[in-house]
Amino acid sequence: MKVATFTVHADARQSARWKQATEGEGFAAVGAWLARAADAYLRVRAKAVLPIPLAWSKGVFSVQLMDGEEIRVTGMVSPPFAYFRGTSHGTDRNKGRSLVHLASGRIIATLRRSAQARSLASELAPVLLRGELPEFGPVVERHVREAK
Amino acid sequence: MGWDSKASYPPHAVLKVPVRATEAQKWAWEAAAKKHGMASPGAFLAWAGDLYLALQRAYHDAIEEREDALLGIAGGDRRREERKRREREEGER
Repeated sequence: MKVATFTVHADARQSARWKQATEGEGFAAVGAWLARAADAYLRVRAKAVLPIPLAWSKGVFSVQLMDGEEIRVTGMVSPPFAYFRGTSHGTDRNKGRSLVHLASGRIIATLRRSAQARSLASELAPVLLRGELPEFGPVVERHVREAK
Repeated sequence: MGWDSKASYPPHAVLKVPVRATEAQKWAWEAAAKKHGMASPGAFLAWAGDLYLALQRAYHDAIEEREDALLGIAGGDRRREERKRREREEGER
């Protein structure tokens, strides 16, 4: 599994507190405990079903089309989501925006405007954090219905 | 703004802790750091660690307060003394 490493800065008191908690909760390293604390916070936020604002930037990504073909498209990316101009049949500048789950290349929904795709992604992010992917059907259905 | 971590860390934060993350954790922490206006995912991790401990402390204090109320004045005084002693010991460490 691909892993990244972050460096966390701490003062002496923080370090002592974190070490104490790490030992108390049976973690092997302070880093592992910090990771758990951050994930716990995000899970609580996600449980509150608060939409998570996402930062979007231009990018190229893969999309799985309806016929099974995988194509590379240019669009807007904010991991784990992206959207492009087109549908499950391919790119099309006149047929709305399709929101894509980056890891699978799967199209989640096709909506009329960029703002609608971004709004859906913001609402799906907490669902994804809760580990409910791909069971986010009800949220998608509501957004598609409201976008019509 | 992105390079300046002064606002996210206390001035004496000179110790470094490495934290390994999966791809999913990486994007989640990066997004959370941006959302909270922090300079880096590391700053978010430090903040989340402190928040976790603060909430844990508040939770235990609430439980102790409740037990104090059940034990009456003498029991409550004894518990408060114990708590003060524990805090002194933690401060000395």
